[in-house]
Amino acid sequence: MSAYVEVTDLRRQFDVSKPWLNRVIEREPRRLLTAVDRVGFEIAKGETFAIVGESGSGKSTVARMVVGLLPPSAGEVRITGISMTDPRQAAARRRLRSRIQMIFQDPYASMNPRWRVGRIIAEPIRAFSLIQGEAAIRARVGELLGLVGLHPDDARKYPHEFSGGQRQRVAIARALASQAEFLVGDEPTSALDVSVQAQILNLMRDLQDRLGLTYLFISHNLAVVRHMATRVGVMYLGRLVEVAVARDLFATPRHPYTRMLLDAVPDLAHVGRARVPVSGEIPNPIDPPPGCTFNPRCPLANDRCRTEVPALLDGVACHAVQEGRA
Amino acid sequence: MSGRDIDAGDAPPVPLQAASPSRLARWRDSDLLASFLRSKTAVAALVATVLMVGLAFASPLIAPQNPYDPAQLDLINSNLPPIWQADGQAPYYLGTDDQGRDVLSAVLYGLRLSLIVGVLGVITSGVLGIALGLVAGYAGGALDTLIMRIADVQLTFPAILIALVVDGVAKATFGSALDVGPLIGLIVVSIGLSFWVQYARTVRSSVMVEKGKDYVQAARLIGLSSPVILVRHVLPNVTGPVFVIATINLALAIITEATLSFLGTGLPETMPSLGTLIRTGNRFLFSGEWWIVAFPGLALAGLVIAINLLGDWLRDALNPKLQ
Repeated sequence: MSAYVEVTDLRRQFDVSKPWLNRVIEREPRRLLTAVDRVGFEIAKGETFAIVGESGSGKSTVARMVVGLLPPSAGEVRITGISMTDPRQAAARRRLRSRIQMIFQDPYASMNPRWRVGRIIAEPIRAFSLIQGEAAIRARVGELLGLVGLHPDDARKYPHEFSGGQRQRVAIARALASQAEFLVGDEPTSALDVSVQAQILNLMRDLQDRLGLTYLFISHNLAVVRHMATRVGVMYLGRLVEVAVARDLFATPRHPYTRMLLDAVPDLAHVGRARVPVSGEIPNPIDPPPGCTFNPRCPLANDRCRTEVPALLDGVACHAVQEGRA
Repeated sequence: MSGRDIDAGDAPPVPLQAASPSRLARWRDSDLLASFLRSKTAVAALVATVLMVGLAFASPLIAPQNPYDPAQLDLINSNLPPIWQADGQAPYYLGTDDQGRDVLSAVLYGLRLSLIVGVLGVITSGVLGIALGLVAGYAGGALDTLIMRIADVQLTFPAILIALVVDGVAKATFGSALDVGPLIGLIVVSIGLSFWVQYARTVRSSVMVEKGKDYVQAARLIGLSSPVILVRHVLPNVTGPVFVIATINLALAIITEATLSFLGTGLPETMPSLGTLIRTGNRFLFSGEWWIVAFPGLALAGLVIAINLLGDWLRDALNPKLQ
């Protein structure tokens, strides 16, 4: 069986040049920022694929391209075999549309502040004409609110009457309203209190078990990823540097960057042991280092790393690992 | 991160009230009303505005005379002073002009015309400006640049000049014998073309903020088209500042109409607005018949000040930084 989501050679560049007139006067060339570079992965039905990375690593850009909010500069996203970019498959894509939804990072910005929650959740139902009749729609909205642990009467409230965690529950209810089977969560819990984060994550896992959902989960929080993910992709400066089953990644990280990240995580089992802090900063993506983009921060870098971009082979993109030096 | 039951801690919220308060109750409890009642100026301005609008639209019922009906005018009654002066006669409480037209009636009818033209002008400029601002802000790119450069060019021309040009072009096209209806339409279009830029700029900047928010992205995700997203989601969230501009522009539009009429390109003397009345009255100022120009002038000043004070209050009340 082929994968539910296939992402191949995905690439996205942003034009960060100055305005045309300034470029002409100052004789500057057009400047492109490569936010995502040749990223490829597959997600099987029912699993949670997590992408971790620092700020600026391109993980949110990947999420937006996967759901179709942002057109890729190159490469392709296929969901159930249907391309998200091919104009010839526009009709099929429209039918697929209702099955893909997104949960956004900021629950304060992801809902129209002037609409009642009932109308917000009903909007996808109406947009896709899933249910006819006001009473039936209202009943379905109540059912969805119950599913995410809210009260059906909450449909009459406005978003500002809820806490952050409750709003994220509403956002999940809205995502499920269109009978979605693939949810992309772009840091869905990073704006929430730690205690509330756990409840939202548990709700998402619970719904996954009950409804057979497939998740693409974007996060910078390794603890969250460990809790949620079946498989994990680690991104660094627009490239996927390691892809592994979650348990293996956390037990035996292979890429030097992944090891650096995991060494920096506070761990209750090793209280008292000095943690290795993450050293260095992510370079400017407008002007990335040649070769492996991680080479300025990598303890194992040699001349080959500084000139040749490593390919993702066997789940890891690192010359040192492939040469057996790590 | 260990427990898997979803009901821990953040228990499903018990509904706080059986039902959310009605729209009326929310308005009664709102900050806007409280702020309104606290401001004596705002209350006085509203009372004055409502009074003048009420009198203007009741003019056919309360005015002693229909100033548009030549049969009701009598030259014997011309140039009568106001009632409190020696030669004053009832029912010409504010005197009459050189045609025997009752100044009070003419002011009431003129006020109504000025208000109609002002409101229609504000609606025209608002609709034009909001539509162009929405498109420019949401589409961005070349279309945005085009619309905003047109707006910049527009701003370099004074409103009166634009109105005079529109008026001149229309009169050259249709001849000068235009009926009153089309003439009002012409002034409304002139005002609309003069004042749309402010709306467009304000709406555009609000749209650029709103379109980046995730609720707009969520609407795109369920496949809604851009016009639907703009009207259903973006527009309701950018209207706050528009109301402030519309209130202040109403006063400006009324003044523009009065200025046009004063300059002779507005409404004709047979169907006078406040501006036309001021223009005709101006001729008699030095011969001692001051009431022909003074009362229309006072009515215009009162209306514009009242609306401006309302607009000022609204701007402060809707600005969260001033609270």
